[in-house]
Parts: sequence; structure tokens; C-alpha cells
Amino acid sequence: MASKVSRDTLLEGVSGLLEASAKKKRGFLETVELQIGLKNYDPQKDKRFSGTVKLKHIPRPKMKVCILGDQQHCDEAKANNVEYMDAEALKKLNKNKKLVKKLAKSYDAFLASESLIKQIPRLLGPGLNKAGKFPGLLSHQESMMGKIEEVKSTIKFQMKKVLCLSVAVGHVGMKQDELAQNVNLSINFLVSLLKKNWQNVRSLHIKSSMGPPQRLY
Amino acid sequence: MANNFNKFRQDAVKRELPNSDDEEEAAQLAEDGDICENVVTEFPFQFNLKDEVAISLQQDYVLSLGADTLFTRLAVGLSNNAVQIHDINPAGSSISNHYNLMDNGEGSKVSICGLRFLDDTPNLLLVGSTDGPVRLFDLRTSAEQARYEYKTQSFDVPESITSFDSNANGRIICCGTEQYMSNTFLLFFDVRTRKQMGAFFESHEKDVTSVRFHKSNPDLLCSGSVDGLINIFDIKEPDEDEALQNTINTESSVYRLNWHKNVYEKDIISCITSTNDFKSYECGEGDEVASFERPEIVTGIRRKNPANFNLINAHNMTDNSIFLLAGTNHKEGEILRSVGVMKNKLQPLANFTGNKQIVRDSLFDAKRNILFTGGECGFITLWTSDTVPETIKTSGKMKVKTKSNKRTPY
Repeated sequence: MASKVSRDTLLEGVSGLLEASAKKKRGFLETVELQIGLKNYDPQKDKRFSGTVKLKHIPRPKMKVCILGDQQHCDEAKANNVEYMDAEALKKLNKNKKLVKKLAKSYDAFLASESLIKQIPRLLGPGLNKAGKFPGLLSHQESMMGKIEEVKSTIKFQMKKVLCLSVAVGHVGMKQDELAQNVNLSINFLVSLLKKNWQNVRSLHIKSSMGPPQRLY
Repeated sequence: MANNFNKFRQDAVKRELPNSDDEEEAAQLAEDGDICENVVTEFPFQFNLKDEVAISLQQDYVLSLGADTLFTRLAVGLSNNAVQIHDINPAGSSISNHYNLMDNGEGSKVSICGLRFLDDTPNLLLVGSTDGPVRLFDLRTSAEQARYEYKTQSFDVPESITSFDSNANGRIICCGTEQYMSNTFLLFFDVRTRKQMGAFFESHEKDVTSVRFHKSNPDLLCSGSVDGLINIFDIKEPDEDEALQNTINTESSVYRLNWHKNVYEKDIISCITSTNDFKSYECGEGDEVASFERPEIVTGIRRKNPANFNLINAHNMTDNSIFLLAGTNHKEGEILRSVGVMKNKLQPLANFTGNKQIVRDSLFDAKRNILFTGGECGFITLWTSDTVPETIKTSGKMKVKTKSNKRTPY
């Protein structure tokens, strides 16, 4: 499926966004969002538009991941300077709702070893579920650092009742081509999920947190 | 010279520009196709359209189908909150005699989010509407027998529900809601007393999209959400903390859940994600059994373009093997095929000829190998085949039973 956003338009938009952001330095690292306006889509009748997509470059560099690991994974986490907790540490929380909530707030995401993930409901109750921080599975078949990279590179999107969707695809500290790649990947993936693909897209913009929107389509 | 140019300019203004939507449609059609030489040889089982009924002549979609245990009655739910009841003839070859059980509200912003026959008879039907109530109808009188709706007491419960199910012994109904004021609910009702029994609200962060009770264990329930979690509950326990048996993180967004059994009769839960992937898990431990992403399933049904793909449902055959029903979106979704799910691969199973719509729900009568589909053009379709797949063997060979066409000699 050919993209309706030409390479030139994309690069112009991205560089425009980065320039505007560089002109007015902010006290925080601005997020870059992709905003999609939809058309010919009825949220009441059509299939829900939501899911996750893995980007090429990490959009949120400051994302904090905690490993809930078995012995092997805890050792590996320690060796790689990644924060971790073992089963004993989780048991100490004693299923206390306040403590579990605090734990959930302390990290952006969790990864848990197979043996530990099955015990989460017993050890912690549904606190992580409610916070939207239930751990992803960390198996021994894959590299821990690789999985952490994957978690940091994956973004969620969910369309609610209005016909527009906003997705964080990067930040203003990224290089132009990296940001462009993330934007391009997101556009192509999201459009591929729409029933009529490009016929369901009314507009596309990218925008930094404090900057003006740059129209791409 | 100037006159010619002006004339040219005037003519150009009068000429109608090609409609960009038409161009795009044509471009899209050119980009998809089969990746196999011969669909008939690639898919061992050919299903043909045996019967078809146009439910809606407006723009309404068939979103929900329900049938009784013996497939004698078909309930059809529409995107405008209307419900129709049809009879399926004893031979399983035609649908007829429909009547309207529930009419649409004019300009209704409400749709049907589930249909369930309450017990083994074809008489008691539960109808869920997205504005909240689940209604129980006795089809012998078409009268509403009961209405299950949450009345808030201590906290704000959203008025809308997204899905519901009734349990194996027909005593409990569970409704899943959207996220509302930082809470997402699973609401429980006692069928007989009509009273609300309580709610769970700690196990999901985002909208619930699927609620499924186990087919025979009345206490076992699974729920799926946009947050990617599948929660498994034993509702013998009244406390949510104790009831939550297991949480499985699909790391995606759940669209539809189904219960299955593996060869050892262990419970399996399958999930179709909102991004058209398929994953299945062992219920007890939560271990992943199978996982196929959208491109793999697209190849499985022998099509080229993942951007033109609609994963509809996962069904059980009589020997517990699972097949996926999948189709396309362009050209009104004409492609409809199924693939058998093996441990590490998908096997082309059936091709359905004559489909005219994007299919949104399906029912499979495993005993008689009949498929019912409903979708966005407002049709319900009954599909049958002359050669019937009984089982998908791991060796890749299919056991085929041919319906006997022998004419009796006299």
C-alpha cells in the first residue's frame, strides 16, 4: 500500500517541527504526537480502533522498567543496572493495596519471569491490573535487554468516541530521520488497520507538546 | 492565441475531475490478490452459500448472532438495536419465518452487544444493548420477562455496557463496561431474582471488550480488555481479589475471546486482538499455546495484503481442533476463508464462495458443519459444504467425509 505522505512532505513536517521546538526551549523534553483525523468511520458500528505498535526508535527515553524476576533474571538485571524485585520482595508487600499502588506508580512498565508472572494475582492482587501496569512476559528464550528495548519502543493507541486519535511517536531530542521513521511506521501501520485504509483518513498532523501542528496530509 | 488559451481554460473548468475516492478504490483493489494458483485445490473444503437473508435494507450492520444449542433458532442483532428471530429448518439448509423481537429506536445511538440463549431450549433469549440493559425475552410470547440493569449505590457505574455473557447453568449474567471515571466494571446479576449481585472493578484499566463464561463450569469466567489483559475469575469467590485466578497479558488489545479444549481436555482461551492477531493460552497456568500475527494469518488464507484483512472469529470442531474464520474488507469483503490452527502453523481449511459483505460475527454448528455469518451489508448467510472436514490432523492430511449422494436403487 503506497503511502499518501511523500517522503518530502514527511521530512519537511518533521524538520519544521524540530525547528519550531528548537526556537523556544522548554523546561522539559517535548513529546511528538501523530494526530489522525478519521472520516467514513462510525464508532458505534465499525470495529474498534485500538492496539499496540512497535516503533523503530525509542519514543520515550526516560521510560522506567522494573524486572520482577526469578533468580536468573534478577542476576541479569543487576548486572545490567536494571531495577528489579524478586518473589521475596513482592511477598513483603503483603498484598497491601497502598504499597502495590505505590509500586505501580514508581515504574512505567514491568516485565516478569514466567514463574513469577503466574503468582502476581496471589502476591499482589489486582493492583497492577488497575494501574494498567500488569507485567509483560520475560522468557528465558529471549534477551532481557532486547525485551526491555521492545517495551520501550512499543506505543499503545486507542480511539474513543471522537473521530481523531493522538499517538506519541517520539520526542524533540530525536534526529530528524529517526523521528521521520517513527512517524512513517506509525502512519503505515495505523492506516493498514483501517477498513478502507487511506479512504478513512481525513488528515494527518504531527505536533510537539508546545509547538504548532504540522500538516502531513 | 490568447483566445485559444482562454477557451482551453474554460473547457478545463467545465470538465469533471475524476472522483479521488474511485481512483483510490481502484488502486487498492489492484494491490491485493491470492498468493496461490488455485484456491479450490489449496483449500480442501469448499463451502457454498446455501441460504441468505437480507436483514436490513438501511445502513445497519449485523453485529451479533446467537443460536440455541441445537441450532433451531437464529437470533440476529443489529447496529441500530434491533433484533430479529429466524427459524433454521431441521435439515440445516435454510433460514425462514423471521419476526422482529426488538425494534430499532429511531436514530438510535445504541446497538446490540450480545445475544445468548439462556438454557438448552430455544425459548429464552438474553439481549444486551450498549446503553446498559440486558433483556430476557421468552420467544414463545415475545414478551420481555426481565431486565438486568445496574443501579448505582456507592460508586459511579457507567450506563453503557460493551459485552455480556450468561454462565453455564443460566443463573448468572456478567456485563463488561467501558472505562468511566478511572474505573472499568464487570457487573454481575442473578438471573432468577433479577437483582444485581455486585461488581468487580479492579482488574481492568481500560474498556472491557469481551466477557465469556466457560461452557460447562458455571463459576469460570474470562474477560478481555483494550488494556491487553485477559482475566480469569472463579466467581464462587465473592471477593474480587480471591476470585481473580490468573491474568494473562496479551501485550496488545483484546477484541474477542473464546473458550476451547486441547487434546488433553484442558481449557484453552483464545484471543483475537484489535490488530487482527491470534493468540491462545492454557487457562490454568496462563502459558501461551499459539501465537500468529496478522501477516502470518493473511498468508494462511493465501492473500497478499495485510492492510485488507479482517480476522472474524475462532471456532471449535467436534474433535476440539480450532479454526480461524477470516476475510477481507475491500470490495465489500468478498473473500471468506478459514485456516486450521496447529502448534506452529496455520493450515488452509475452507473457502467460502459467494460472500458479499464484511463479516462481523459468525456461528459454527460443528456437528453438521454449517457456518452462519452476519455482517456490514445486513445479510445473514448459511454456508454448507459437500465435503465436510471432521478433523485437522497434525500430519497435514485432512480426514474427509463425503455426504452420501448414493441414489437408492429403488
